[in-house]
Amino acid sequence: MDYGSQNLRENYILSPEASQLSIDLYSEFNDDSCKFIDQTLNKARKASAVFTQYSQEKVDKIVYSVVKAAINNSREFAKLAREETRMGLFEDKILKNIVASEFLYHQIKNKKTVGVIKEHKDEDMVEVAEPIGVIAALTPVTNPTSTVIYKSIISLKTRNAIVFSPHLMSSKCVAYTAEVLYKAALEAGAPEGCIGWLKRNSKLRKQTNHLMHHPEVDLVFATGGTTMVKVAYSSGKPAIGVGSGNTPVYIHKSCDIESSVMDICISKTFDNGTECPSEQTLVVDSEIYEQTLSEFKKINCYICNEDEIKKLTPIVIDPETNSMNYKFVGKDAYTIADAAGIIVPKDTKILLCKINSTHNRHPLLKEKLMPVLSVLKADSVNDALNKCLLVNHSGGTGHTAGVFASDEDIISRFQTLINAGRIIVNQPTALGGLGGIYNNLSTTLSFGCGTGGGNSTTDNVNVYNLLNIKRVPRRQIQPMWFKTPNQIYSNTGALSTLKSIEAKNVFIITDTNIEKLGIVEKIISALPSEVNFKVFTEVEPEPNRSVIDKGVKQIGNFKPDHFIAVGGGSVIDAAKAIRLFYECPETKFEDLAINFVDFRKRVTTFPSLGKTKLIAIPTTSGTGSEVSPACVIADNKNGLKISLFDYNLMPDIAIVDSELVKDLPLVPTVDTAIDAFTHALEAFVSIYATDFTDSLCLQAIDTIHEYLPKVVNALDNLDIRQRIHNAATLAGMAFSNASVGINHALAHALGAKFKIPHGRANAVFLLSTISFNSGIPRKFMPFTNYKKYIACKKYAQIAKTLGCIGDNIPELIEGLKDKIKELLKKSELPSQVCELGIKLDDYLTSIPELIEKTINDLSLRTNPRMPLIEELEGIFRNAY
Amino acid sequence: MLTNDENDLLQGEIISNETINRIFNKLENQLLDQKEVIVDLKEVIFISVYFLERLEVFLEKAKQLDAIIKIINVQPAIYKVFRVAKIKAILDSVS
Ligand SMILES: NC(=O)c1ccc[n+]([C@@H]2O[C@H](COP(=O)([O-])OP(=O)(O)OC[C@H]3O[C@@H](n4cnc5c(N)ncnc54)[C@H](O)[C@@H]3O)[C@@H](O)[C@H]2O)c1
Ligand SMILES: [Fe+2]
Repeated sequence: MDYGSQNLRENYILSPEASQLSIDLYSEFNDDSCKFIDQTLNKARKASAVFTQYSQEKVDKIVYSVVKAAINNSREFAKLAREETRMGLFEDKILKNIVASEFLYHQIKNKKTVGVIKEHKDEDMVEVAEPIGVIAALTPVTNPTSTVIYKSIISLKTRNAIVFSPHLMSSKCVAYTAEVLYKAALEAGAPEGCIGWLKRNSKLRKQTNHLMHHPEVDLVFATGGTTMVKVAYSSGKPAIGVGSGNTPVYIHKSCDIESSVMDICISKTFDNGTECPSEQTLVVDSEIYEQTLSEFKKINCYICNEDEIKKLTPIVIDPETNSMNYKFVGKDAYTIADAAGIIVPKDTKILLCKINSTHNRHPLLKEKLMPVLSVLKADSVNDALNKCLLVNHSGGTGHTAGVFASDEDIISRFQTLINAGRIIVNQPTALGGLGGIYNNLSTTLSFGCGTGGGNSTTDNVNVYNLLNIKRVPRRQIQPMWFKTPNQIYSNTGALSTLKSIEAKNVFIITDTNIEKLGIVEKIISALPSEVNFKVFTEVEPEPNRSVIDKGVKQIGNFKPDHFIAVGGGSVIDAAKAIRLFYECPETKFEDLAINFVDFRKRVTTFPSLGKTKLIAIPTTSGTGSEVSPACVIADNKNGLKISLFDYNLMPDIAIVDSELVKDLPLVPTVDTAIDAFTHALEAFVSIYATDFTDSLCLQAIDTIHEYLPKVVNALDNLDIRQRIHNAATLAGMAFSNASVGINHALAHALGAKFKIPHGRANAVFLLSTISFNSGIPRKFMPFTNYKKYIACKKYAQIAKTLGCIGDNIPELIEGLKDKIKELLKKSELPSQVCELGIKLDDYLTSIPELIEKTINDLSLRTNPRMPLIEELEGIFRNAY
Repeated sequence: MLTNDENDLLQGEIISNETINRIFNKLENQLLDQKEVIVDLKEVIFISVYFLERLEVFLEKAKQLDAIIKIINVQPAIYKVFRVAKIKAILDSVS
């Protein structure tokens, strides 16, 4: 912002009340006095359209030409500005014009503003520039010509057309500057109408409003006081409005006093203090207070006494408006002192006013764009920071603040506490804020103040603020993984490999059935004789949290280096959880149980394990838990089953030995085998399927299809048992990486509701889910790696593997369904819900509940077809 | 249709005001004896503000004479200029 006086602003724009009428303003002012604006904007619109064809090279040529003209005319522009506004200092105005041209050019000349402007290689994304169109630019009275230079340059660099509306008190110098720059732009090939301006006339205020509300304007870019910024934002147009500030500067005892004082002098006297980031109130540590003031004195600054401050206050802050007195904005110290009746030497640089109390906020703690500085003494760092905050929050939030210190801790505290778009460290805030002179901030004459100042940005407004940036992200194919235990021992008698484990203390987890079958004894005798062991036999089917807690408790002081889980899926799952909570007792079950869609992006960080090893020895052929990263734990408190999933949970070693399944009765044998078959079938069509999982699936499907009917009549045939045992582990490896699908979601729901064993629950949905996934989906499951809907093709591939013959995919799929029907029949497994002994009425009434459970099941997320509720209803009905 | 000579003018980057005047003078002449005029922009890859202005005026004249103007084969970069310029008469004539 460049001036704060209410009076001054009134000259410029309508009152805030009028701004509320923003919608109607365009038509209201659409009279003859505004015809000129219509014409200017009409031309600007065409210029912006033609500009879209320009290359970076052409644009840069235009910018160069305009910058050159600005530099060549910088004295002339400064002279006109000084004469017309009677504010500031001619010499400094030249420098401002140079900053707005030469310095700005240095920063932007190599910046890309056409076509691809940025490449984000890691994210595989580019940013492409799209011009904004027509910009209505409002310029302040304090920086009229430099703002025109700066705004013209960044507007041309971004291929926008710009129309200036000056403050009445600077309208001549603005028009002149704009015209000079426009001519230079045209000479370099810019489109006609790319720079426009409103001329000095009695209806300028009205015209400014007409301009801001004009349909041809795409963006209002306002630099000025708070009221004007508000009007810009309420124009109903996108706006960049940057407003007033109130810069606090902390002079900490660790600073270099002499250099700090000189910096402040440079800054506060720059253009007689009209720069809005310039210092307004100094907060000085008591230890260096006197010394700092005497440094100021040394370089011809004047310290006012109490009486003088009283006289000066109403001159600086207008008692009527309670904001700075526009009559003295940009005047020199002598003139201001003289007006207050204070006698000071002619060459006085700054008038310093010691303010003793912040209790009743002193008027001089406000913004004052003239060489008048308030000074507060601080008793401590905390006191100093609080005083800076007070000034910051008295009209300065979002704008600028400064700190002089060598103590990094002080700088860090200051930048954390103070709300300012630019926090200038050990530099003059006015020239520091401009950017490009003392630091690498973007060179600007529009200082965004963020929401603290009612603005849309805290940026030093520059080229990127005048572009619509189009982001073009390329499709990212995610790397897929394949993880499995690094040792898998298989075959009848594979248990003997336990002989070679290097273990000291082994904690064996199992259940009473397994113990009774003598399997635990087999394990113990397979272990090296010197190994210590402890056995926990209390796992029950579908283990719950209290079993896990009991297991962890039982370990006591045993200090296991290995866990051996021997049993079905329930035992192995329990072992995974016992090991986890033994290794990481501080882990919260509820945190790990938070649901996720992609485990790589999930909210929870899973603890890493590794103090112990887990050896999984399955005694059923189905769950695949011996190679899986999952465990299912029942939470009896709220009747839920919670799935923990993480590759840290995966066993280190799996031993797949048919000796241990030979006593598994027929019913669990076929139940678990069909579960394994379903794992393979679903992992094969999953959206996460890879070549690595596919090959395992096909092998598992083929083996189960061939050997399951055989095992029914030969339960004690170890060769056949081993084939099925292996197939279950292969399917486990597949779903551990590709997951399952809708069939499992349906089975989980049905199983939970009617207490149906998991494998059977899977069996009754096999045919209906194949039909569902083979149809044309109403909704596809979105996943970046799944580019084509290939479920049908993959079912056909399975059909071929199983020996089906067909001329086309539908025929092959029908063949597959026949094969499955036959498999279920031969294995004495149901293929319809009605075969499970569930009554039709009970079933139908529970369908809404079943749907609810299915929809929430994680397995659904990897199914290629996303089911709608009504489709799920259809599947459930058809499955009966 | 424009003669081959004038068709030659309607190509590449059309920047020179003199060329633009020749193009539109010719087109406006055609309005005197033709009820339909086709402006083929197939070879045009850049247009200036003056081109847009003359085109707008030309379409206005055509409207007064009840003539139909068809602007054909517009390249996307030029069509974008028409869209951004939001000149209804031009957009209505593009086919
Ligand atoms: N972690 C995973 O990836 C995963 C995958 C699927 C299922 N599961 C879980 O696995 C559990 C089901 O496992 P399951 O189907 O192996 O059944 P299970 O472990 O619950 O065992 C069922 C019954 O069979 C007995 N049994 C086990 N092996 C036997 C044998 N060889 N001879 C005689 N009886 C034997 C058990 O003592 C038990 O009473 C469920 O809790 C389920 O949630 C886990
Ligand atoms: Fe399963």
